[in-house]
Amino acid sequence: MIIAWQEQLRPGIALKEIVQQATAALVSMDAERLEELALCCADLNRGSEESGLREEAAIGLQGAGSDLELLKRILHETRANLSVLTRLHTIRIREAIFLEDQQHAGRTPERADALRMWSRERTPDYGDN
Amino acid sequence: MGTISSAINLITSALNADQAALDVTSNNVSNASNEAYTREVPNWSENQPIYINGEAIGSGVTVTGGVSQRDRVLDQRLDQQQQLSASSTSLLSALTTLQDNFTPASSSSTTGDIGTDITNFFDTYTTLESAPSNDADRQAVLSSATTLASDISRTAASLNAQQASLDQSATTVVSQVNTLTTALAQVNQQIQSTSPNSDAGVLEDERQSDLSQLSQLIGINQVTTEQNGMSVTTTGGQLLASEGTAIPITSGDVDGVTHFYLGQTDITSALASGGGQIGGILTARDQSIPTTLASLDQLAYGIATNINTVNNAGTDLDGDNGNAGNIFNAPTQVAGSAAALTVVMTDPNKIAAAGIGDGTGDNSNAVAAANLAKQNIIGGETPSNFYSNLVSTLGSSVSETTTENTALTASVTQLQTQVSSLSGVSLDDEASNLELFQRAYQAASQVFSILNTVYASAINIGVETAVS
Repeated sequence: MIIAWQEQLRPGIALKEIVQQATAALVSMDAERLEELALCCADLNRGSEESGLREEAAIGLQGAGSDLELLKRILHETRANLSVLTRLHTIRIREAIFLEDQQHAGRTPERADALRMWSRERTPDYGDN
Repeated sequence: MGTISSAINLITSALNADQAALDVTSNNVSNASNEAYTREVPNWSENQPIYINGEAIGSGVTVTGGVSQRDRVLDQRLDQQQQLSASSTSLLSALTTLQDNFTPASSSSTTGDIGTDITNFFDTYTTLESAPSNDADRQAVLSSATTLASDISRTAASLNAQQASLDQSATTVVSQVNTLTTALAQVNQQIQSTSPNSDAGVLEDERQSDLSQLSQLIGINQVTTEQNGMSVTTTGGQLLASEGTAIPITSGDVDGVTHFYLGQTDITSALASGGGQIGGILTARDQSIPTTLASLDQLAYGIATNINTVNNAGTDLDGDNGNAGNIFNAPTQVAGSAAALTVVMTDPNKIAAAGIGDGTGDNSNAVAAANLAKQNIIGGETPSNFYSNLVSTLGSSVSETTTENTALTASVTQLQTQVSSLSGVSLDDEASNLELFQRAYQAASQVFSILNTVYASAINIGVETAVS
């Protein structure tokens, strides 16, 4: 079902607009906006197929070639950033679990700190960027 | 040890710890405006236990200093992205200036429209065909030739000037790099002597700040060494700083262009591909400008030699057969042709419009000159198409670099946002931030995936698109 604002736009123009808005939202990590756009995009795509405007939508994308290319590149960089941050988070969780275990085992934090330093330096992710 | 005195010790210790924690907090506040400062949290450490009646009882806590909430992996990823982004930014700036030289409407352009000049020049020969003896038409040929030569040579001069300016910029950047590696080596030394086995706090911030600044200037790799030391190399692997020692980049002139060395090794091309401002500057200086200049030389050489050849194959108004002389200066080689291009003919009667033996009123040689506009005489293309391709190739480079730059800037922004949001937050908050990041990525992927499908169908239905 095509929502109201999309009806005012020709499919091609709407798609181009979505690419640009998605790019801006991805840069600022606006997940809600991106999810909204993904839904709009799916609706618009389905709508253009059902109404036989697929060709018009495709033609509309012609002018959005560079916008689409940019979104692709930012997606690529985002995936790399996400990968680094996720691995860091995993390391922090491991550290927290380790420290908790040490405390339960009655070891002193000094010893735990030393081990934590060791674990940070020995992590396979270290230096991998 | 008595129970009461032990209790007093516990309380005193706790009070001292609170005070130290307050000091760390106030340190955070006082450094709030310092971008290089990494937020610290108190490093609580438990004292040796006190034994009462054979049981170990904790003897309170002391604060041994602040522990910076940084992650070198994240810092390195950010540094790496900044290196790429800085390189792309300086390259984009240089390419934009380069492109302006071919855009007559731009404020920075001092030249005319070479494309129009080429058309006008050959058109004056077409006009001359109908009245080969007409003095005004002959004068028009020389006049349009002068405009063309002047615009090509001025553009070449602008490119040479830009190259010289970039050469100077590269030297300045390298000087800044040397200053920073010296500072970095000093900080390394301090860290190794004062905090060989623990976080160096403010000194670590200072080191990270140096690394961050270096990343703006040059592509680097960081290698952590013993006792909290660090070595820094170029992305090509040449050592810039080894713990407490900095290795300065030196420079030398090679055929009028500044080359850079580490020891005896010429690292100029490695620096160009390595990132940072220097990468973009050297890419423009050593690749973009020379390539463009070479094309302009080829254009100038092609037009000058072909027109001169035609003019010396006809009869001028004075009746000279096959010896009318050159219209443009005769370039001896392609390189440098554009900058040197000039019109050497001053007498319009020397334009050989007639064919040899056909009398001075003939126009067959003027026709031959006009026809050069339609012949593939320069790099397998007509003069106008060759020039048009030169400008369009440059435009594509600017466009691609702009896209790349926007993507890299976006990536740096994402990382910086995450660095500030992760600093000092709980693991739960961090997980929540990451979940949001993940959701954003997945939704953006969906948008891209759907539109890419539409795009693919555009190809299937024969719609021409620009996405590769």
